[in-house]
Amino acid sequence: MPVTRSAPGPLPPAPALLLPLARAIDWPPLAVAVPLAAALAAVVRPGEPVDPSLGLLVLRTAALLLGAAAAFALVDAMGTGTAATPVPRWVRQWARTVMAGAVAAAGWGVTYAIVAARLAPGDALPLAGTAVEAAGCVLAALAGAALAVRHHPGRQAALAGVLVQLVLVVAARPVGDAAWPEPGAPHWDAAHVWWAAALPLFVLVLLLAHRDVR
Amino acid sequence: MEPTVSVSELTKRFGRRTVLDGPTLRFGPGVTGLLGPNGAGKTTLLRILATTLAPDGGRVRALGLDPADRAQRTELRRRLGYLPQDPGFYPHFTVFELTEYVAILKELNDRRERHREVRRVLAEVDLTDRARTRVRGLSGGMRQRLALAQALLGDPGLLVLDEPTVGLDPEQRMRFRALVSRLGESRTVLLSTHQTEDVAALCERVVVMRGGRAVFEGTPAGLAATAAGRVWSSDRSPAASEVFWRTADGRYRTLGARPPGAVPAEPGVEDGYLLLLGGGSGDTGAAA
Amino acid sequence: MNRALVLFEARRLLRHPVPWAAAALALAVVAVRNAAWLPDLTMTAIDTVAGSSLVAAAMLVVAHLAASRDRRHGLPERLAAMPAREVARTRAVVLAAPAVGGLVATVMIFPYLLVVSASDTAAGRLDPYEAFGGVALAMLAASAGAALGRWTPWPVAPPVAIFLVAFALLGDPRGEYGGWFLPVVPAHDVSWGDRPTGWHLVYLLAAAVFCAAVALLRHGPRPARTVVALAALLVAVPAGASATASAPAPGTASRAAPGPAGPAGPADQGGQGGQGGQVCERHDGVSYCAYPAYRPWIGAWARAVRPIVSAVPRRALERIPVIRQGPAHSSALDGPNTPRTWTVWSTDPGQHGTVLAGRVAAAVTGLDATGPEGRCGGLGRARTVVALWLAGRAGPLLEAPGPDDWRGVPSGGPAPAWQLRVRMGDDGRELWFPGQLGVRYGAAEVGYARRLLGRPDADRRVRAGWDVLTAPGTTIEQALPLLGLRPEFPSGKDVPCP
Repeated sequence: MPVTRSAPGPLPPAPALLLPLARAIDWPPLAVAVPLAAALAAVVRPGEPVDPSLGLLVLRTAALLLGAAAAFALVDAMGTGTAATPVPRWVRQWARTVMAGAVAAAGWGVTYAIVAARLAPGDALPLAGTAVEAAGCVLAALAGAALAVRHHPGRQAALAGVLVQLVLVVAARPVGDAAWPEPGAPHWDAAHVWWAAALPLFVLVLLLAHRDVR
Repeated sequence: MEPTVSVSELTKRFGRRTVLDGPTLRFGPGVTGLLGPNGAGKTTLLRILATTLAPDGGRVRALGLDPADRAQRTELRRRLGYLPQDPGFYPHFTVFELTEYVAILKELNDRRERHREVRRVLAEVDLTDRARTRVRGLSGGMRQRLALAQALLGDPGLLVLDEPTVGLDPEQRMRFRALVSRLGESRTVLLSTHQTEDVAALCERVVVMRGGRAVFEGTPAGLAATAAGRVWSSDRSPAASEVFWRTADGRYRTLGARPPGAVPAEPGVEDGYLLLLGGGSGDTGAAA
Repeated sequence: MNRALVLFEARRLLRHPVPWAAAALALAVVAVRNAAWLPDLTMTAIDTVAGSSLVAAAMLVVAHLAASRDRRHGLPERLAAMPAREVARTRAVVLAAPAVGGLVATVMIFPYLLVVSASDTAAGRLDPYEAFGGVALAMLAASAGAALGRWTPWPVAPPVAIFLVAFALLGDPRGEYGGWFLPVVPAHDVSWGDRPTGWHLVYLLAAAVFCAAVALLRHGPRPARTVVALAALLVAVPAGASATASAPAPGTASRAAPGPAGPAGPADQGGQGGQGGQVCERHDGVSYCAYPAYRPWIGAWARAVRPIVSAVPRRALERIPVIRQGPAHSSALDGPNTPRTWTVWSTDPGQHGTVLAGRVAAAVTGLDATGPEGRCGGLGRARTVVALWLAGRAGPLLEAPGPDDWRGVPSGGPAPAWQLRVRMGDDGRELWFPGQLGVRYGAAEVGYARRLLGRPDADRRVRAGWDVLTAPGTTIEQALPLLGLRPEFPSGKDVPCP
């Protein structure tokens, strides 16, 4: 039987890599989380306007939920076998991160739109601040899961994402509402500067966790 | 023999446990079998050679490349086929899709060429007629063949196979032996196994590992020869302290000291392996 | 029942690091949060149980993993051939996980509460049902995790459950919507009255049994499981309803029943049963009245004003009304400027202690009779300088509010240097005070008070000239020679307070 040798290239074309990767991702958690987040926004306090505090809580819950679900996208059942391929691990893991993150972001965006539509006239929730919080919640889960899947096989490793989220939420309690300000709080902008500053830290963890496993 | 793979004074620890304790080994073209009990360090050694694990100490060179260097490691991965012990699959992929996915990761970027290569390796492992079957529908042996097919993608110069015959039926094992021996004509094939018959049948060289060290390096015949004069056959059950077992012809095969009334028997690879690892009288071998 | 299997699961769960790490983190967070307040056993128990929600969340995750273990790593096929059936493994998990959860929660909750209750300043009442509610919460979460693991073995189920429950708790901390059917009701103020913790404990335990039965029902509706589930439901629903019905609506209870302000009467002096059901003690010539459970805090209040009362003549202390404790959810007791205390008290001397000292300084110098809007005020008055000097002896001396700052509070931004913001609990409520005396003053009064604080002989001069300095009509210009100060700051004029 003749054996052909293929000429290796630098990196495979994006569609060739992304399509099977997209199929390989464990989508059901996000398929549960996205409609659940949207439903939460739609059904909370039915028949009456949502006050900004409750709307913000919905958005924060949605962000945590979507982040925890997105974390499952980083579990690679074939991680062991494909670790010895020339396409680096970080390419595959970042592709998973971006795809799952994008779906989580879209889910959160839908949730925000529903909440915004249900606010009483004159009420508002700043998009920038809430979006920065949401990005932090999702990235924290992704970072935790990325570290866990690096060392442990199996889908349950992704639960490290929710554990990291819980630790961060609970660890922020001693500072009261400084980390999770209410709408209109005097320190809203300052708190979100801190949130924005934390995002690169999560990305840094992802950079480290997505490295080659050796 | 010009070595294509060499390791020197390789060490690896997991926590407080030393898994590799400084073996120095050279492998040339052909098929080399790694034998050893569980925890001997075979898989760790193969993972290091497959570039998925970094050693704590020592040097590795494979196909003239140093895996410690990032660029050379990538180049080595282009020329490497790896079958891990627990390969993992995406169960909802078809056989063809899964193999193609690995082909993409092996940088087989031309679609037509990639598809031809996928069909080739599936034929090599006799999975052509299962190409459209989802992985979740495959038997354990078929999955093992699928994983082997992925290792064969891209005509690798170095094949690292960790327990490749697990789950294969006798016919498939024969096909596997034929395939690997043919590959071994021009490539370096390293395989770990607990099947001494596989080693005897297809390996030109064998390395026996124990406690992270290589305790034997040579030919299968040389390993069998180490048991010369210590393999016995008798028609009565020997003392319980001996390593012995009853063979198909109703006689007792004993390793170690000669039991009363026993006659010498022809040693095999398994006899040499068991005696090397401490079986036989005077050591703590288990009665089989 | 396979006892060995139950013990096996219990040992595995006990060795799992996640619940213990959760307990350590929750304990650390609770300890740090509570360190900011004088200990109130009522609230400490509630906070600790709320903190133990993290243990409950961890137990939900690990119980889910234990119950769904059968479905992972190719185990189903191997386990299917075992003589011990699937239901035996479920039973082992639903017995072991709540026991372990309860143990971890006990280790987290009770030693901490014992340590806090041993403190000399521990006020409030330690409700054992409240504390056991935390244990039952962890048991319920473990049972729920096992049931989830059997019915929905997908790993995303625990986070979904955790965040939805957290949403319900945070969105409704007072139990206004879910009532006491919520697993935790973290918001409370002692003025609301007693919590229905006994019924809630029964509800939590029954709910835990119900979840365990639901887990077992995954293997078929056998009579025993069905009966247990129904019985648990029959207990849980009425218990939850009873708890909800007997819970006081926030803000309606009336443990705060203050009497009129004024000097402490004979009945109050150092005895029990003062006005409004409070107990009173006299320290350094000042009477303090507290709810009986808060008597241990009186010493801290006395320490906060000691730098003031030690610097004034004894006869001046008669101007200080009885200092009464009021509920944390009410900013006023006898009037906005009356010295008072609350059912929360920060360990930070710059918080409640500073408010109390400022009000006592105002009262002892006779500045306490008007509202802040300035029918009369302290501008240009000598006794305002003295009051600020006294307040400065007890704590930080704020900048002077501007003329418009007295009329309202700013809507946002960090606290300006002239404003005192006092946290009234961990739920973000704050009281905002312009200045620290409750009457209007300006930069001149603050400037002279600072000069006076810098003089080593200020104590002697104030005592010597006390009557003149605190007389309503004495102006700053008239007082400066008495205080040994020279004119520096132009001051405004207010209608003198009577």
